Amino acid sequence: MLIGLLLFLVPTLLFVAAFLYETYLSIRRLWPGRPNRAGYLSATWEVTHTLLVFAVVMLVMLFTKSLDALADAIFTATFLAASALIVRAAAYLYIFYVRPDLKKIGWVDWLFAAAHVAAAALLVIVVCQALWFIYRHHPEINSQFFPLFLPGLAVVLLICIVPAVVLYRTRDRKRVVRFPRNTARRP
Amino acid sequence: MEHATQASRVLMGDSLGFHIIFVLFGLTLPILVSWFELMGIRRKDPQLTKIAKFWSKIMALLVITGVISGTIIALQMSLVWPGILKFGGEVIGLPFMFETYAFLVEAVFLGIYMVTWSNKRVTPMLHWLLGLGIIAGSTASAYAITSVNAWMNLPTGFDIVAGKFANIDVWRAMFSETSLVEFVHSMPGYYLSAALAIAGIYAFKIYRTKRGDRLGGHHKNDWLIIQKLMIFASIMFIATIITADITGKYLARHEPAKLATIEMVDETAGNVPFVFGGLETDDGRIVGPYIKIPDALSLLAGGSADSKVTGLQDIPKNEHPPGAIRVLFNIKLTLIIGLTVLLAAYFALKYIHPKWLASRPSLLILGLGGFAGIVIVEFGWMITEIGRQPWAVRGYVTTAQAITHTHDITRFGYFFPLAYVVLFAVTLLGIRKIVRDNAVERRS
Repeated sequence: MLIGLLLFLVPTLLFVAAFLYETYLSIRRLWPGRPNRAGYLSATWEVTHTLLVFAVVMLVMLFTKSLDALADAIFTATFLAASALIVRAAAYLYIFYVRPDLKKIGWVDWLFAAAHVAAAALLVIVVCQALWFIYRHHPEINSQFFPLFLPGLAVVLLICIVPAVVLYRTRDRKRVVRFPRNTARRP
Repeated sequence: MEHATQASRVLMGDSLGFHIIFVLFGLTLPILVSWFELMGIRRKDPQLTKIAKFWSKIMALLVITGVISGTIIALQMSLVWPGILKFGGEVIGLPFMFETYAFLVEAVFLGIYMVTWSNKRVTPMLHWLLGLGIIAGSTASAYAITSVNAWMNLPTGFDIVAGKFANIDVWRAMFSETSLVEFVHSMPGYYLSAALAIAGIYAFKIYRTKRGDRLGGHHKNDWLIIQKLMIFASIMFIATIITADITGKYLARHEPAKLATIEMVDETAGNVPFVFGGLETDDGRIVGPYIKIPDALSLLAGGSADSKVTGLQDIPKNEHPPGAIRVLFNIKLTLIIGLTVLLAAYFALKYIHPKWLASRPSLLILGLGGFAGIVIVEFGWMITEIGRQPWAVRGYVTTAQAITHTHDITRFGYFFPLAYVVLFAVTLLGIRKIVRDNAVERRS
């Protein structure tokens, strides 16, 4: 049970941390006079979503035998969160890909930030509901894929380290680049 | 409950129909971008590198939209249809895990590929190599998800002993014959449709200029891209036709109900004709315009004219797929014939009379015809999915059993399709902005 919970909680916590940081950035953009008003993470968008999918897959695969009851417990909050994620994606595309002036702040930016907050809050509710369900019902864990999971993860992380090393070794040493911003617009 | 099931099916269909557009571009663009980048490096042609860079921006934009629709599908698959994974999660868990890994590799490589475009310290060859990581990630991800679908069509990798799973073999479930057949057929189909659509976009670009300028140096690169894409599309077209034959033979062996419904085969027999067009009435007559090729279905299904094809009379009536797949198949086949003519006409005009190729009607046909490939892919998946009905996991779990019984998806049924339309519109506007920015950059 402990290994199972860790497999679900680790990607979930990583996702929550990354998503909360994105939420913080989406709100910080709204304040006039703040640096990086237009700034937001672009290159990490896919990685954050990967973590979400990872967490969902883990939850679903770990508790397949009780999936109908688990789905019942988290259904509404999850779909509301999914709705907020779609709104966030549409606003993101509009702000960073369609609107000519990146520094302009309008209602779409407020919607973008609100969608972040809503999605974050709802996803936290989903995690709490899932944990409560696990605590109350002690569902049977599907451990069929455990022997493959960790070796697979090690291989994948090794593969991902290669481009990360390339990025680190070729970084521009004159400026400190903490996060690539709007890379798709300024590749 | 029937209403909720139908609503859920429609919602899932909407989500998959929307997502598949981004899938086919998400799989093809990394290959095309990589190809143009490599050509640019080998020919030392900065124009080709610029084209690769331009399309990589569009690729990144499409991935953003595809990522969100993919996330929604993952949630719908597990929460709206919990019965599928409740039944088979122990067997089919591996591809889900594999897909997540592949998705992570794709995301990491894509992010780094995009941020290193203008980095002088990254050599062009190293940058190109980073692009291969995106291709590997997206292709592996596509295989994993296709294998889940294949498993739903023909579940393998387990035995049922006394009502419980036994002898579970997750590798056999993931690398089954069905998975390979579906994968080798769908991949060239994606490549073909995306390549044709991009060629179509360039055709429209040339279409908008004056007649005298269309074959001039101003459009030299546009014609070069169209030529390369049409060659690529032709190769993929041939691959799709070959793999379609393999798929047809596979259907005859393993999914006879689907084939019998598509081809209106009522009685199991040999020397069965292939019927293209027409609709079957309740009394078994075929009405409307149609072409009947004697023995052709037997030949396609079994390799000889007297091969037996299973008829619907030998399949329980409650397991018959909806007849709508026959209509979808006929439309799909008509479009495939249209594409054959389009590809043949393109190469004929290109080498015999290039001026006609640059005429407005030709460019318009090339531009519109390019999008037929996307419709074919959509219809192909609709035939696969609707053709499996009434099963969610064939032979084990029906669609009605797989659906959640406690929540009615109709509450969200209106929001998601509307949201997809908005997302699609914003994506198109984003692409338009990239195209305009690129034009300004080129002029300056």
